[in-house]
Amino acid sequence: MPIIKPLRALCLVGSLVAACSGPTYETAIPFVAVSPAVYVAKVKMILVGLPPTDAEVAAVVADPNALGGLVDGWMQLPQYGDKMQVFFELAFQQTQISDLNFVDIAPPNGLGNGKALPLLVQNARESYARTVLAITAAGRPLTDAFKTKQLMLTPALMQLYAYLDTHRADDLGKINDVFAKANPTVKITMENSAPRVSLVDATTPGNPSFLHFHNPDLATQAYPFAGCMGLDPYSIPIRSDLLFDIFYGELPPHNDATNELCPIHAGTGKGLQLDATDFTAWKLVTIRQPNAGEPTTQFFDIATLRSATELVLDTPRVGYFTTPAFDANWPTNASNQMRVTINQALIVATGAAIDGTDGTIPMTTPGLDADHAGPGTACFGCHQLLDPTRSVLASTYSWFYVPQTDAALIHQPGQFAFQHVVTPVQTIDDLATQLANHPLMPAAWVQKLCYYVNSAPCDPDDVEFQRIVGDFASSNFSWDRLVRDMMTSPITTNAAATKTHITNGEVIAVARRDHLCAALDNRLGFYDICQLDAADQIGTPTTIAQIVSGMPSDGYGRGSTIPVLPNQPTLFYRGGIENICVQVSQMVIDATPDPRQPGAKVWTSTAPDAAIAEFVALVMGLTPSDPRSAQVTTALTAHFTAAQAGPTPATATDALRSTFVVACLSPSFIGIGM
Amino acid sequence: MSISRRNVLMSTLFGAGYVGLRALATGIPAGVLLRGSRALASDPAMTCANKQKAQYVIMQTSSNGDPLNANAPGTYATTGPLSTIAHNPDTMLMAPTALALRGKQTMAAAPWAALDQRVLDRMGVWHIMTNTPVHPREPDVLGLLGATTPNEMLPSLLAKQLAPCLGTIQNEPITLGATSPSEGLRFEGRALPIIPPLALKATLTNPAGPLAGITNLQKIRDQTLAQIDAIYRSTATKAQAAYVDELITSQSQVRSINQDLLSALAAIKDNSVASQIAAAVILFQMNVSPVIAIHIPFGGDNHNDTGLVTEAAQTVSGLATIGAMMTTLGSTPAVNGATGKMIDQVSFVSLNVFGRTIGPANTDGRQHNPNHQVSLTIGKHFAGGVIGGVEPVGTDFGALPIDGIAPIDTLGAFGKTVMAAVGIDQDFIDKAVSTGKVVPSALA
Repeated sequence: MPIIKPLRALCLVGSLVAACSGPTYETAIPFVAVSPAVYVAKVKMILVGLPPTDAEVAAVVADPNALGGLVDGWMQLPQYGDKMQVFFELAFQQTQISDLNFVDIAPPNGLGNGKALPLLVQNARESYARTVLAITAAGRPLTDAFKTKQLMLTPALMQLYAYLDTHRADDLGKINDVFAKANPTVKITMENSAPRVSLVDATTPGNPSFLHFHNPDLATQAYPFAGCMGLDPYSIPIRSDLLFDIFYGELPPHNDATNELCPIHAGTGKGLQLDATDFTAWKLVTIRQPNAGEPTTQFFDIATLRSATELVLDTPRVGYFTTPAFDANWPTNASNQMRVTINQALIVATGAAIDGTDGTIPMTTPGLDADHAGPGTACFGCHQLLDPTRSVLASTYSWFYVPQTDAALIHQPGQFAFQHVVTPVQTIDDLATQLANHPLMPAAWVQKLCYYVNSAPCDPDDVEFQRIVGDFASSNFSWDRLVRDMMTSPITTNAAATKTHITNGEVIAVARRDHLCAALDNRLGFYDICQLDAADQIGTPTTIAQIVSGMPSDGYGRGSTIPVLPNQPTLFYRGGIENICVQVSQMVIDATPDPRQPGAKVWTSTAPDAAIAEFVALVMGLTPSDPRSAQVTTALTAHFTAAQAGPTPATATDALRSTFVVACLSPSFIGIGM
Repeated sequence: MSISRRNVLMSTLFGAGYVGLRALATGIPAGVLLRGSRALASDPAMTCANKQKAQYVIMQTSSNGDPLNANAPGTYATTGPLSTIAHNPDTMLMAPTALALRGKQTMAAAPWAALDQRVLDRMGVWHIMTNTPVHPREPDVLGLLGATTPNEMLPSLLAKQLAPCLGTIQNEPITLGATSPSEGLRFEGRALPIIPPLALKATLTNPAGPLAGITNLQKIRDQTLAQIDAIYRSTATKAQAAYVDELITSQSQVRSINQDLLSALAAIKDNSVASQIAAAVILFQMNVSPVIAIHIPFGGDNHNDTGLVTEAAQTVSGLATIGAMMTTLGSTPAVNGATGKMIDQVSFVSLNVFGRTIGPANTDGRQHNPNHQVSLTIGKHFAGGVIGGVEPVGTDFGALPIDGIAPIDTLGAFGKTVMAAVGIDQDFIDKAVSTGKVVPSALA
C-alpha cells in the first residue's frame, strides 16, 4: 500500500489545480501522466465504444481542455444512450433476472412457460433505465427518476403491471384473483379450427368472441390421454394467471370429455397472442391509483394498453424500487419481510447498506422484530434501523409486492432511519423522496460512475472526487453534467495526479462484456453481435453468445455496496476473446453480406493494405499519428504475408482473417486504458 | 521498415530487463519473469507441502442456504429433543432410513442411504455453525468469517496451496455454477469471473470446420501477437506494461491446455449441474485449476415450500448427482501421472451460507438458521461419519461443539480440516485460519 500523507510539494507535479487547493499526497507509486492518445481512446471507448480519430487526439494534444467539447459531441451519439442504458440497468439493479425469478412475486407459477417470456423479461430489465434516460434527456435531475410515477413501458410490460395488480398473493401466498372473482362465469376458450378471432375482439369485454383465443398448437400437442389429443375447441373457467400465460402461447390445463386432466403445455410459440411491436413500442406511461369508483386497467385489454399512456392500478409504483424487475431481483418472504428490499433500495440510492456500522439512533422502532432482535441483542444494531425503514414497504405491499391486506401491517407506521436521517414516512412516495434527497446520494452516484469508468472506486478523500460530487449536487443532479465532469477529470484520464491514482494506481481493466460487445457492434457495424438482446436469442445461441455468457461482466451481489468487476485477463478471457475474434473474422473478411447484419463492415483480402489500415484505426483504435500505429501496421502486414508463405500456405482469406484476429486481440481493444 | 530492424528497435524500447523479449525467446511468460502477482502455478517460488496427499477439489456452495441440514445424518432420533425436528413429510421419497458411515450406524432421509457404500464410507457429515442468517454473507462464510489470513476464501486458499503440488496451469479456482455474483469467488481480493459450462466449452474449443484455417495459423499469430505486445509495452506506463504482461501470461496459459482433451468438451450440452461436474472433471484432466466451484440445488431458499415438496425433490436429485459424480470419478483414469482412478484424486466439499430452521413448526417452508449448517466432505483422505451434531438452541436447533471446539469455531475447524485432508502444511493452516482446529476423527 502506498504511504499517504499530506505533501503539498506534489502540486508541482502535473497540473491538477483543484488538488492543490486541498491536501496533496506522496506515494510509493511515482505518477506518470497518461498520454492524450491513450486517454482519449479510453473516454471514447467508455462513452460510445468507438475509436478516436486523429483530429480528436490532436485537438486534445493541442489543448487538454478540448476533451470536454469532444465528450459533449460523443454524448450526442446514439451509442451513448445505449451504453448509459446498460449502466442504469445495473446501477438501479434491474437486471440479473430471468422469467424464473417471477415465481417469487407471482406464485405459484410465475409468468408461466411461454416461449416469448424472455422478451417480456428484457422489457422489464430495460424499462427503468429507459425511463432514466428519458428523464435525463429532458434535462431533469437524476433525482426525479427516484420519485417518478411515469415509466417507459411497452404494451407487454403494461400488461404485466396490470396482471400483477389482478393476481394478488397475500403474505401467506393465498391468491386473490381480482378479475376472476368479479367475473366468475366468464370462460376462456381455446380454439384452432374456428375462424381466427382478432386479438382485439378476443380481449374486448362484451364482444361475442371475448376470451376466444386462436392457437394452432391445439392440433399438434401430445397428451397422456387420447381424449385430450386435438381437442378443439375447449373452454376453462376464468383464471387470471392462465389467461396471462395464454398471451404467451401456453395451452392451459383443461379436462377432456371423460374428465381426464389434460396438463398445461408451453406450446411451440406459434400461439403467441401478442405482436412483436408489443415488446418494442416504448412510451412513457403514468401509473396512478384509481379515483373513487374508478375501475383499474384490465390486463387482457390489449387494445387499450396499446393506446393508453396511463395505467390505473391499485398497486402503487414509484421509482426504481417498485418495478417488477427490482421485485423479482429481490424477492422477500414471511421471514425476511421486506428487509432485502429496503436494503437493496438503500444500496442503490446511497451506496451504503445497513450493516451494523451506522450510528443512527431512530426515534422509535416500529416494526422491530422483537423476538429476533430486541434491544440488547446482537441483532438490534441492524434491526433498529432496518425494521422501521422497511415498515412502509410492509404496510404497502404483501410479501409478493401487491397491496398489503394485513390490517396490522397496513397501519404500522413507517420511519426512515438511515445514516443520520431520521424522519417519519407515510407512503412509498415519502420513501422515494427520502432516498432521492439523502445526503449520501450524490457521492454514491459519482462513485457508481467511477466504478463504471475506471473499474475501481474513487478515493472518497480525493479532492477531485469531492469537487465532482459538489458539482453534481450544484448542477441539480444533472446526469449528463456529471458524466462530462467525470470523463474529463484526471481521475479518469490520469493526465494529472490525483489521490485516487495514489490509492489505486493506474487501473487497466479488461474490456468486460458490455464494453466489448458495444465496441464490436459500434466499430464493425454489427447489430447485437453478442446476442445480448432477448429478441436475438431465439434458437441456438451462437458461439459468440455462448462465450460472452462466461465473460467478465459487471454485476451486483445481494447486500454488497460495491459492484462485482472482474478486471484481469484470465486464461478464459484470453481464450474466449480469441474465439470471438475468430468468429467475427469470418463475418467481416471476404464475407457474403448477411441480411441480419446489414451494416456490418466487410473487408476483402484482395485489398489487404486498406483492410489492415482499418484494423489498426478502427479495431485497435490507434490513430495514424500514434507512434504505435506504423509499427503495428508493419507487424500486421508481415503477418498477412507470412501466413501465406511456408510449407502449408494459408489462403489470402484465412491470412487476412488471422490478421484481423491479431488486431482484435491487441491490448488496446481488449483493455481499457491502453 | 524490415521485421528484423523493427525487432531491434523494439528491444531497445522494451524497458528494464527486456522482459517481453525474454518471454518471447524462452516461452516463459513475462509475468513469471517479473514474479508478478499472477504468475503461473508452476512458479517454483510456490512450494508444495505434500504432493502425495494433494487433491483436486470440487466445492459445492450456495448462497441460498439450502436445507441440506434438514434431513442429513445426525438429525434423527426417536427420543429426546431431536425427535421433534421437522423432517420432510414425504414418507416415500424422504423416509427415515438407516445407513452406515464407515461402519457407524446412523439415520437420514432415504436419498442419503441410496449413495454407494464406498461413497458413504468416505463421507463426513459436518454439523457446523456459520453464525449468520444473511444471504449476502456467503462470501464471508467462504472466507470462514474473517478467520483467514490474508482475508481469502477457503476455495482460494486451497487452490493457491494445491496448485504447486498439482502443477496446474493456474492457481485461481474456477467458478462454474454460481447462480449470481454473490456466489462468485474472489482470489487475492479480485473478483473471478463465473464461467458456465457452455461458455467454458465455447471458450476453450478451437474453431474448426471452415475456421480451421485460422486455427492452423495460431503459431504464427502468437508470434505476431508477441510483437504487438512488445510495441505496446515499449511506450507503456508501468501499469500498462503490467497489463500487457498479464495478457502474455494468460496467452501462455491458454496454449498450455492439452489440446487432446478439448474434444471431451463436446459432451457438454447445457449448464446443468451434470454439465458443471463434467466440466470440472475435464478441467482437472487438463490440469487447469486445483479447485472448481459448482452449485447443486438442495431445496434452495425454501421459505415457501408447501409440504416441503421442492426440498424432497431436490434432495433426491442433489444426492443422486453426488452419487453420479462419484461414479464418474470412480471410472475415470487418474490424471497427472498418477495411477488408479480420479476418485482417489478428487475431494468433494460443500459449504453453504447457512442452514435452515428445523424446529417442529417448519413444515411448509424453512427459515434461515445461523446456528446450524451441514457441510459434506467426501474423498480419499476423509473418514466417513457424523462430525458434531445438533442440540436445541432457542426455539430451533444449532450445532454442538466438536471435540471441544465451540460451535462458533466449527466453521474454522471445518476449513482447517479440509486443508489438512488435502495435504496442506499444518503450520500454514494454523497461520492461515485463526479459529478452530483440525478434527482428526474426520480424517482417514
